[in-house]
Amino acid sequence: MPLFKKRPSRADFEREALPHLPALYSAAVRLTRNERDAEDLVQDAVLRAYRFFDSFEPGTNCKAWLFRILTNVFCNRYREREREQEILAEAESSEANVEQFLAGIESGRDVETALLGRMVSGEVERALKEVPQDFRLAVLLADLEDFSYKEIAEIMECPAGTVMSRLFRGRKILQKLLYDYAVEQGIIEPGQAPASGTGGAAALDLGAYRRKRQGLAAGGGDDDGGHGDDDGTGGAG
Amino acid sequence: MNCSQAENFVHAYVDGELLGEDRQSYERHLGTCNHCRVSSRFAGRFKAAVRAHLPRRPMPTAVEVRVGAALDALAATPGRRVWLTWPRMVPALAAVGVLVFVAGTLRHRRSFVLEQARRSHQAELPLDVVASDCGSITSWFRGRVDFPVHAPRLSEQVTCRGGRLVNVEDQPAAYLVYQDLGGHRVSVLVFDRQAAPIDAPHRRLVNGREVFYGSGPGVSTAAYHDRGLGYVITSDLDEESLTRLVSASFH
Repeated sequence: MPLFKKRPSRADFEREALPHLPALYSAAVRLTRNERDAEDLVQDAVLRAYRFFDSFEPGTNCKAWLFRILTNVFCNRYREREREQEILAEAESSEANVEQFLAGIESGRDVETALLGRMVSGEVERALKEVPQDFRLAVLLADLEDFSYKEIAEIMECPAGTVMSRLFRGRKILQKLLYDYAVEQGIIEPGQAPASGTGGAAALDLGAYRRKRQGLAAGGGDDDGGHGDDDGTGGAG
Repeated sequence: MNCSQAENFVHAYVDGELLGEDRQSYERHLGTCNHCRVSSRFAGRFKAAVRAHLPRRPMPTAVEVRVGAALDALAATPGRRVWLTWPRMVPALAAVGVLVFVAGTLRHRRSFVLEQARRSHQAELPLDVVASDCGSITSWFRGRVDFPVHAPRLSEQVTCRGGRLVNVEDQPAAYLVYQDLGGHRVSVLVFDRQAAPIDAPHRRLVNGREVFYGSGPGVSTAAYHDRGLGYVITSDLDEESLTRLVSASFH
């Protein structure tokens, strides 16, 4: 056995990593919110990846590995805690707007079509910029880069449950921002949607649900309680 | 499954992460509940709409060029990491131990970092950042090296020209280039002293500090430690002129 393991070459690195450069850059622009910082971030992440390329396991997901490095570099350099806390507090205080909006859809008013059909790309981009960092990152990784929850958990170095929670809240905040915009533009009237009793950002716990379901199964039935079928198209439950 | 539980699974369902019995149970609930069905449909449509409105941002060609140049710079620097695996580590460590013992018996062994600085100076490698004010150059290194870079003030006649990211051992280091009024090029290699020791047979005390000297064909080097960092100044100036620059940098 030779003393030294064969070192990955520059060609190995370029073949594995560089095809993901456009994805890294696109995510970096949306994370840093400006192109100049994005270029610096991508360069730093790629250099770090190259220096530590020996720790990459060939055959595993190189894109996820690169995104993990990009995220680490970004978090170490661009954390904007204070500003995010303000935005988050503001978003939480008016989250009821989104719930009202969802209730409006349910009530048969066509606000869903109004909002989704008249979305403007620039406004979606602007709204995404306003989403706090951790939530924005979760939305980016899931919705734009198609990473699984498991991969996102590895990239963000947090449990899968936290990923689900961040994704849930990130999308809620994004919906709220776009709802506000739609109201501002007259696409939706402020008082259009009635109040709703739907819950907020509940904790997501698949394990707890499964335990409960197993308990119910043992006791003799599934729990299909709730709002019921009010349009007559569903089954008996 | 009730509405409260179903609400928790909306996003997992839309993302294709709800599988097996959980998915069947959720879909059974959707079949009986208009509220959750609307909520699920909206979540799916919202995700699709966001995705459609946020296409991948096109990457300028300059980014690819810049990354390639940075990789070239990194690959060109000596002293890269040795690729060892644990099963091979024991004999490797034994070999290192022997080398350390032998090296410890030799006094005033020349450290490689002076040689590296001399080679870099003579190679006149292209600069990553070009600016006449030292502040812009040191700012450029922020985040690229693991320590704050301060360009030593060498004299009134010596001005900053630019900088380049290099490696000393496996650690990123700053390579600063100056120019004096007589056209002499002066370079300063700044690195974490933990990365490489400074040592040389020829040493002098300058303003009470130990300065190590080396020389090569047509160039001289002077090196010293300051606040945890190592500095190697290289130029085609003679030793006395170089010493004046070193002395000025202490202020």
